[in-house]
Amino acid sequence: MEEPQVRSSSLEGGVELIELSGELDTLSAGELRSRIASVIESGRHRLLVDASEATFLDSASIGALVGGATRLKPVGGALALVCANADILASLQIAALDQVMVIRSSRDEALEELRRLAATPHEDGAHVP
Amino acid sequence: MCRSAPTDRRTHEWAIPARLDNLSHVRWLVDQASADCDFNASDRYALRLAVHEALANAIEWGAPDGSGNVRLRLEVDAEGVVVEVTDYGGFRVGSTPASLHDRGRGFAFIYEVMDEVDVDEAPGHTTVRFRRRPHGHLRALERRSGARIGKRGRRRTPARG
Repeated sequence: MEEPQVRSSSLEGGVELIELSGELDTLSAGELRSRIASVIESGRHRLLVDASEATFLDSASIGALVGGATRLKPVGGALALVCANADILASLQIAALDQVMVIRSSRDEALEELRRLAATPHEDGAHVP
Repeated sequence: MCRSAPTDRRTHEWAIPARLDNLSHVRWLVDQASADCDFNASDRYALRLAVHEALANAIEWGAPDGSGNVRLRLEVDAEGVVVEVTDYGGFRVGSTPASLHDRGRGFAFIYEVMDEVDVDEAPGHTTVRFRRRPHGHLRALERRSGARIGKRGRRRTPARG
């Protein structure tokens, strides 16, 4: 068993980072949901969730990610997820997460995509803060 | 958590106190129990995920027995693993639209990663039963590639309250 960890920090360029490691399940989903809400409520709308070290994501954890992406979209924000674990990626496809957020296998690729989205005017004309 | 003696060499039954903080240990137990089966890493992940989702649903939305437990039974045979999760309430996936959405997602995982899924309701208890065969396919990936998805066994919609 690998204990779940949810850590948050700020990166250059106004990107907020949440790193996930271990087995994320119903109990840790609340912490993930809270960290995402904190980022959004602070007015920072470019969020990178790095799940490279995560070994298990259940439906509650995936629901927290969907909730974050859903809240960010109307304010012109974006959530990018880093994940290279084939089993977790398959779960994300089942939940159709690839339709509501950017998923990349490396942090560099995800960051590049976030920056590209930030440079693209939102449909209402706003740029990602 | 009490474990009964296996009823045969490859059958395992657990009475699990209905608390979500037991789930990580149960996932580990299930992984160990499936070691006898010819499962690859993806089979094992799928099994752990499905058992987790079924138990989380039983704990959050079902009801424990008089001792505060829900039941988990694993039968490991040449054709894979058959799992039964039993709680002692009606079959519910949540009472609000938001929770319905979340619980629906949990059951969607079970349906997608297991080869057979069945839900039996009887007076006083609900049993979710599913089977995973070795080297099973993830339905989502089949769907992406346009392959036809077959489903053996009965499949019932969990959205009943």
